[in-house]
Amino acid sequence: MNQRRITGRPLHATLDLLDRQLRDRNGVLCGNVDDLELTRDDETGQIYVTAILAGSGALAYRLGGRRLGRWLHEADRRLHEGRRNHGRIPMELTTSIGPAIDLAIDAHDQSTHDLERWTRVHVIDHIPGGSHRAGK
Amino acid sequence: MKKVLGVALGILTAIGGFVDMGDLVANAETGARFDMNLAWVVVVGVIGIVVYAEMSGRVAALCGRPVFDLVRERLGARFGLANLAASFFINSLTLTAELAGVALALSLLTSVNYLFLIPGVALLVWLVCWRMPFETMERIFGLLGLCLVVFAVAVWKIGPDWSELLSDTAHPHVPATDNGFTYAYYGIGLFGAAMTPYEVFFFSSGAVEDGWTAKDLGVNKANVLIGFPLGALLSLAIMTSAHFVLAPRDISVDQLSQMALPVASVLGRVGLAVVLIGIFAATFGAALETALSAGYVMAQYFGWPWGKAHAPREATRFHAVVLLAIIGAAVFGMSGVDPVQVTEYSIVLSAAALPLTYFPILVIANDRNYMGDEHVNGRFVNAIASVYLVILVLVALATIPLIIITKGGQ
Amino acid sequence: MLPFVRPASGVWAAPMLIRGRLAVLGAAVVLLVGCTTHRVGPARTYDDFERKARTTAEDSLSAVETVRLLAEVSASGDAFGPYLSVSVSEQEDTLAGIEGDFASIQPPGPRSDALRDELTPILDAASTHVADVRVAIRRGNLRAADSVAAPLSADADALRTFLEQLG
Repeated sequence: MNQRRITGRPLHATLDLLDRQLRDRNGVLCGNVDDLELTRDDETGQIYVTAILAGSGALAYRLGGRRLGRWLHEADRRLHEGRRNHGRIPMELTTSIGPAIDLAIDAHDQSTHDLERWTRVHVIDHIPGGSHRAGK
Repeated sequence: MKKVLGVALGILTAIGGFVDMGDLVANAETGARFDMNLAWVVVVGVIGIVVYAEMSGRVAALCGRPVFDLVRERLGARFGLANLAASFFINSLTLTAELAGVALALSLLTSVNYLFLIPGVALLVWLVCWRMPFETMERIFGLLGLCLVVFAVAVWKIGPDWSELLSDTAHPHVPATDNGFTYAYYGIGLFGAAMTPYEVFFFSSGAVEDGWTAKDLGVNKANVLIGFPLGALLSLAIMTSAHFVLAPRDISVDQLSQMALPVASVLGRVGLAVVLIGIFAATFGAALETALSAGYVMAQYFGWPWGKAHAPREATRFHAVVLLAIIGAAVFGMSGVDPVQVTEYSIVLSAAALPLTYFPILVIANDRNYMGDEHVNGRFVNAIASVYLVILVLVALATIPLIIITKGGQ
Repeated sequence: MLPFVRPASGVWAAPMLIRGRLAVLGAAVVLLVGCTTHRVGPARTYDDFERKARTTAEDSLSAVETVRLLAEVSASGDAFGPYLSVSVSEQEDTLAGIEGDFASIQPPGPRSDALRDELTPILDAASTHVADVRVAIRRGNLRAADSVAAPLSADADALRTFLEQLG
């Protein structure tokens, strides 16, 4: 029998979590909360939010574009086979929940950053001056 | 002393930045066709933008997030997406209009065909967004935009009967030669030009990038309460100059060159040179703001890193969107589409989309979770803002039918 | 699923969000087309034709008066070459477009023919005179522009008379 009990803080899932800005451990913006994974505790019947879903087709799926969402998810899985979590961030990794949600992960490992990396490699890096901050 | 200068600079920039291609087109066209009978719309519009810009600046200072960023989380992903689609589309039309405006102003100074100038203008706009010291450029163009004051100088030189002018302005009517529908159509365009959405996106994103906090709320109010109204006076000067010089000759405005004609006729070469420089600067500044706004709304909806303060490597999708928006607008502009017509469509459609832009601002500015108890909207502000929201919805509903009835303002 | 109810197909089967996006896209296309095509269409009745003749005359009057004002400004030294030459060329092109659009409208009947026969020569004359101004300005004869533009005053009067006639 599964001995691990789930504990949690009561939150209003749609108001406090959904569509919130995500930030990584360095403050880098890494997407929004596109969807939430809910798990029912077998013993108590309570529903807990067990993971944040961001990127990898989650938003498309939630907004009704199911096929598009599934396609994006599949594409992510096939392109990044070595990755452990495709758009799924376990709640244990959230360090603070407020106007933005801080995560104890690195943005660059997340699926939400794939397009960012692709754009950098294929577009931005081909244009000179990309590492320079447009100063004041 | 330095603080005073900073505030003054901000106000001046707001004035110079208030007038863009949309305002030029809207005010010159209505002045030529309807005399001063639509001036009241400018007054109504400026009150609206003052109230809402102050709110969005307040939101940015207190939450550290621009308003559009908060739309998705406060109003839902679906509404946010509809808002994004509409805003982005209209923004792109506006960007095309601004790029064309810069090219046209340059063309009138150099006699090179404006179509050939668009690529160069687009490149310059992009370079500033990509890498040049943004604040400095904005200040320069904002101040150069003040050259448009020459419209006011021209009106003063004409030496009109001021009491008659004020009386005409205060007693608007639909002229006998036109019908109520075209009057309403031009009024809506003028209103859309006064309350253009991209200004709010840019203003609040810029406030966040500048690191505004609660301490800056006073500066925010000053900028907004002084800058925008003075900018509106500039708009009215454009309208008045067209009314005095173009209307009596039955000239209707459909080219940028005609908008500058009153100044040339009254103030000569010097006035003409100054006004063309002013138009160049004002539309260039507006092009910068619109291009960045394209990036802001897209990145803020999807949660990507954003900001001109970031090096492009650190906000790649944001910068890619800005680049693509500029390229797309330039290509569309070069396709031979009439820039004044594009501008007309952009301001009229802006009017149709105003509720989408401003409704979230009102909601968030009233939300104690975001604003804190102290700075949430007071009853007075809420009263005005709510009245305006009703006006915006009515305007939005009337827009598409009016476009069809008047066949695009004929 | 009910066995004898055919599921919706094509666009209507798409979920609301996609339909919404298609609507926006459709609206966008409609408006873009509106921005790029001419505003004049066919005329089926005399009233229709008369309306188009009126618009043609009004727009031409605006172009003619603009060129007259530009010539005035040019002669008094109140503007410079590039501005004048680009502005006059713009009005010349506008006038050519107006003329071409009007010429391409099929007059629905003899009453419209009369209207057409009256307006067309005025437009032709105006075009020629505007071209003369353009030639002078491009050559740098800025001071002489208003005398070159003198015939345009008669063209403007003719257009005004035409419009008054229409009532």
